[in-house]
Amino acid sequence: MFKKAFKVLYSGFSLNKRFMVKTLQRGAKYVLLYLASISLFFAPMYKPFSDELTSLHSFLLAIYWCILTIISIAIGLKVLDKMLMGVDK
Amino acid sequence: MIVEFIAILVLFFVGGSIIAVYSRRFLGAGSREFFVGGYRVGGFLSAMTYAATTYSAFMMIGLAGLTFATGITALGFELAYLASTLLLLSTVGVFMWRRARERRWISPTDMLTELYSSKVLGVVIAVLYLFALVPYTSAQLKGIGEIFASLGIGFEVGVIFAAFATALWTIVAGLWSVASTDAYQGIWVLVSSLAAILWLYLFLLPSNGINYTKFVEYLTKGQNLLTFTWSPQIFIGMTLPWLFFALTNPQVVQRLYIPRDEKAFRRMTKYFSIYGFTYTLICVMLGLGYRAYISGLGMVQQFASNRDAVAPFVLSKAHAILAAIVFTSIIAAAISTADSIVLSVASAISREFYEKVVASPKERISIAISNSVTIVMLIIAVMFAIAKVGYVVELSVASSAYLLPLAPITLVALFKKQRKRCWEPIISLVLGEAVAAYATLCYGPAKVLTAPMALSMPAPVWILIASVMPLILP
Repeated sequence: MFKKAFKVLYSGFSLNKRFMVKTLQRGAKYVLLYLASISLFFAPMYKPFSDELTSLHSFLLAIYWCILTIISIAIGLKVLDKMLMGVDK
Repeated sequence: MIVEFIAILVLFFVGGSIIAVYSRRFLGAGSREFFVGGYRVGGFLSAMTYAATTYSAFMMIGLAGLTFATGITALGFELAYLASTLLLLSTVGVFMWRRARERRWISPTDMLTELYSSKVLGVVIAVLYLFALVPYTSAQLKGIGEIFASLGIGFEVGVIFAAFATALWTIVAGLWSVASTDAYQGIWVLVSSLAAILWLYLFLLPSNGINYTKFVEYLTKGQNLLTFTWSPQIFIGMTLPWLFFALTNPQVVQRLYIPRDEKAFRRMTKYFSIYGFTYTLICVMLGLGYRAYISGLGMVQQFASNRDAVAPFVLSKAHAILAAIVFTSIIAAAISTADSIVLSVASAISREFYEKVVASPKERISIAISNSVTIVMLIIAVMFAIAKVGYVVELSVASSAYLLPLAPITLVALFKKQRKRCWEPIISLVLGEAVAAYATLCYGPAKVLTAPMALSMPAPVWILIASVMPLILP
């Protein structure tokens, strides 16, 4: 009975450890992804860029930020699935 | 108008109170049930409480006013926050959720205390929460008081009503009553904001002869409000603290502990993103609509120094029932933020000053202490609001700067393989807070986020640099 309990505990521990190591390896990739996505929100601070967008269409700057947000949400949900799947496996 | 408003408000309060009392049937025994719902809250409820906690009265009043005054750049600021939060929830959030369940964390102070093995750190952070979030709570109550005052009911009545509803809906069943009333309020807020935008764009603007061409003309005449109008310092200074909001503010960090399983966590993230995106777009479009309408009336200058008065002014033109529903939604947004703040701060105080100090703490006493802290916090917030202490609203703006140093220590605690020594996060906090205090003294609380400091960089950049240094230096 003790052997069985130990096995269950150990398998839980190693599962969690594997998950942590995997996630830490992915960490650098996610940091880069985060920085790239968020940096793009700051791109319109460069005046010629935002003026160019607005000259093409009055609402293009707003559309630019909306599309970036939708892409970030899509990436976020995909990453979330991977993170949660890492736990399941 | 007053009769309709009072009728809708009574309906809102009775509905919320019934939900709060009903939620008691889900409340089990013990402090973990009271503070984090026993880690068994469903995805929808988690999403709605996350959204309602995050989006305060600032959205319908402050963000709409900011858009009215400065244009579309406010959308970039708010959407950058949403995108950052989503990416953080999907990565760091999973870590926090999983560890919270394994380690039985209740408050964000539990997380940092344990990860750094430092009880002092927990006490310091609990005090920091009190210092930063009492003015924030007071600003929510003050906002409700101002809605009451604008309708001729009385500022003090509004503040006391808000504090009473917040206390009641927090104490009845802890997280369960807060989350369920948050869901109720979140739905109320979204539906009424949709009704407001439909009324504005389908009725008010057309009836004043403002079509699409005229709309664009009003927004681009003189200063083009559809392009980037903020200075880089202001944009960075305003946005940076909000990028890390999901890691620094205890009321939202605590929300990451509550989903019952992976499915609920995913649902929470997905529904929050849909809610946040929709609500942000609505509030920004309301701001642009207000600008076109006020421009048409030739009254822009009258609101130049008081942009927060724009939304109440325009909404007062709506049918009395619609206006009452929308004003009540602003009250709902403020209460749903305030109750989550007081519950999370009360749980931190109860944990750090009772449960971790006493040899064998009793959970019943822990909840009683939390309820006492809730009441005391609200009394202080009411006193600040009624005294109309000017710097309360300014300090609430600055609160995001004061909480910013928590972001690096949280990230390092979660991801650094080699655990840091316990004094390093304290030095990190002290340095970050010192920069925030210096900026407050030099520029005042209202400009702490945006005033350029060394190298023309705003204070939040230097706060982050100062708080990161002790953690990365060998």
